[in-house]
Amino acid sequence: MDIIDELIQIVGQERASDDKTVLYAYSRDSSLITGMPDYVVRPVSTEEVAKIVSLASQRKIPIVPRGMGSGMEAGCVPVHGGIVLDLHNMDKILEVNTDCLYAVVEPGVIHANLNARLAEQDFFFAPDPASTDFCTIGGMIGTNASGMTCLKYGDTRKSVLGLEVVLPDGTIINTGSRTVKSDCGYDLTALFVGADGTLGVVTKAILKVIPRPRTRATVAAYFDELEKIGEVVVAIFATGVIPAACELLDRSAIKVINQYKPEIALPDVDAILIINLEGSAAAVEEEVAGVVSSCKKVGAIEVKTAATREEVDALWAGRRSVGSAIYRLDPKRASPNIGGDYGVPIKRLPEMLREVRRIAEESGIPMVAFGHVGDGNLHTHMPVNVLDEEELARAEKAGDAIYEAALKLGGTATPEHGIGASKIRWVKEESKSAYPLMLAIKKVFDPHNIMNPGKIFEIS
Amino acid sequence: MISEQLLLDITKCSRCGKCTAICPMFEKTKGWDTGVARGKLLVSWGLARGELEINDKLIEALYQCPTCMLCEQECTAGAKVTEIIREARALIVERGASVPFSHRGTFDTVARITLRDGLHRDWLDLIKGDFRENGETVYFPGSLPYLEPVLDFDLGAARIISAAVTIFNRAGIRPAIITQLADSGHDAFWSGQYQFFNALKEKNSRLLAGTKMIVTTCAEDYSILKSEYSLEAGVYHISQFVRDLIREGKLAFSEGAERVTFHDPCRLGRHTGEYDAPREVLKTFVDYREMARYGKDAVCCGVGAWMNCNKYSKQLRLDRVKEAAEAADTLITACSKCLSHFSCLMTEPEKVEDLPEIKIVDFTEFVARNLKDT
Repeated sequence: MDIIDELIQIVGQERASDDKTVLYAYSRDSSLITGMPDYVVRPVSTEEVAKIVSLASQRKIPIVPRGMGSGMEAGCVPVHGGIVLDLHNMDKILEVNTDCLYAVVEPGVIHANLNARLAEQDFFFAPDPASTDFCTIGGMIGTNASGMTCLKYGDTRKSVLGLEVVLPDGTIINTGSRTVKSDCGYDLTALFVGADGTLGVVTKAILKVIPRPRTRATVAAYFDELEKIGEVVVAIFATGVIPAACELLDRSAIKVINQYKPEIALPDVDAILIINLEGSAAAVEEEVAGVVSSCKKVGAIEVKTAATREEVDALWAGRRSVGSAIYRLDPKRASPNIGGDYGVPIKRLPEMLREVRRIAEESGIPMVAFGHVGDGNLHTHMPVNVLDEEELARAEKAGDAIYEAALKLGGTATPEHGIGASKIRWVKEESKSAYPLMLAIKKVFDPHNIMNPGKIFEIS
Repeated sequence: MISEQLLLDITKCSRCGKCTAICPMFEKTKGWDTGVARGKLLVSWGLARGELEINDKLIEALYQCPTCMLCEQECTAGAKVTEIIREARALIVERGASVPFSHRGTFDTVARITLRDGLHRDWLDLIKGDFRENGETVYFPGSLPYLEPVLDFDLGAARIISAAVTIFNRAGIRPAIITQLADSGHDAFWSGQYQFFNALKEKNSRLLAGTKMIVTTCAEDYSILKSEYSLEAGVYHISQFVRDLIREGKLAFSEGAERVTFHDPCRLGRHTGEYDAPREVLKTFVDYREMARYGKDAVCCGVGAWMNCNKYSKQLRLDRVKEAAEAADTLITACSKCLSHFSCLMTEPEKVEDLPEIKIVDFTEFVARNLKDT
């Protein structure tokens, strides 16, 4: 029987396709890497996933799990063809138990939908990618996604208590438990998180949920010297404060935001820090005082505080506009994800940002830098004409130079967007002596390399 | 022929997936990625680059979209989603494939018939009020008179046209209804039939030469005349015209206690940016209420240019009517497609379990009905 007929037998005519148009729509994510699948399937249950994976195992064809396809590093792009498992129809919130601090969900649940449901009980699932409105929990698990608030609450891995996983041979296993703590042997849950779907297909997740902070406040501080950025973050930590978010707008970002929305009128300074504090009213009040004093002590030109929603929105308006601003710089240039996600030890942020400015100048590719400075994670956007091969190649070379610089400063090229197919080189360079062990683990789980091949490693 | 700039426009889409959370159609289909803007743009890319052949799924991907512009409005990257989809449709037409019109393409045929000269305009006999055949101030009914015989329910075309004439007359104007005007070409344009559209535009532009003011009652006609024609005359939607007349003190209304809400047609709202005029008018004489989603956030009635009437668009319209019923007793709209789609739903109470009780009324007709002698 043809594979498509077997897939139809498993999920029905409506949810399996080998139509060229449909397949083409699954050949990309937010990266520039492409790969055509041979089949796309939308399962709705663990049993269907297990049958599909068993079929793939028998036929030795790749299986590529996919949430909403919003990834940045080609984690769900079928670079070796095979079956794309579009999991967005597995979108049930199966259990919410805030008394015991957990929720159980299917992988296709949208992050914002889960938090809307939890908000009814004044709880939330803390990892907060910017793509909250459209990214799936499964995708967050695959990439170990984080976001602005991971400084305080941690990345996805810190909030996953247990998983149901279909292994590459079709076996269904469960890891972890419905308890906040579990030391049951090796931490397989943590291993599956951030594995880019290379070890198995996550079909259920037990997530840690916590009470929502009752009070929030924002502080914005303007600096005329880049060097002060690292110092101020360290000074804030020294007061005992862990901000919920600590975002940086570099001079390059300030410039494009002011071009795009002059009404936001950001000051002409070298860097802006926007810091969110949240918790009980008393704690937030104390933390705001600590942050303001730290910013002033380090030498901020100006420090603004906001407590009302309108005031907070005004301070965040610039940071929220940066993505849109970059896309509108030039009608011929998009902002593909090149050299876009890296991190360095906090005190080395100024050095890293100066490196980015140098690379931008040398490459002739203008760059806009911003990021989650509280954990040393930076993002760079480059306006590039992707139809111009020479310009694109120059941008990609500049992107590599950025990652090289981050590693030289003791940082990482893989902080929060996952690895996918686009950061394979950097995994090898960054993990060094641990790399063979990772390869060995992959072989234990997936000896035939059918589970999302061409991600994290390229195994011949 | 897709231009290099259009290809560059497609590259603006980063396929981030934001549209998956916004598209009301995708919320219903929960289907393949071809059913959302990101996928449609990728398919357009494949078609333009010769990497995809035209097949049924490709046609479905590019035509199952009312081009309501909600995704485009919210797109972080500013991708010109609707323009790209329309250009991709034009490629499909250029390569000889058929446009998948609903109602077996009847409305497309009607529009083609209006291209002919010397047609009998018997419908004019049904129009009440004082109008003339030519003049500087023109009322443009578009294809409204020809829809009614095709639809199997009372759309009220003659009433709407008569209502428009009444409004003109109350303001002391005797409008021209130029009987040989053709369909505005909105559907031809948005289905990618540019050659056909240009023929309609050329005929209408010739007949409208020398006029000073053109008023339409349909949002689609308004958007196409305003955006794609190069007319010397000012083009107004009837809501703008009525608003101005009220401001000039030329119209007065009997006040009513009726709870009324307005459905923003995507062609009037997001496509041409007019949200205020209908509200300003209605608020002068009714108990006006907003739906949960209104103005720039309004959700589409489900169809655009007679191209995507299917079970999903029917779910959309039911949702919208339910939303309206939560806010008001009467739903007003100002577009013949929205009116047709909503009215059609209300004719099927036996097929829809939870159909709410609400009146669906055209804006022009509602305004004229509530006019008071000054």
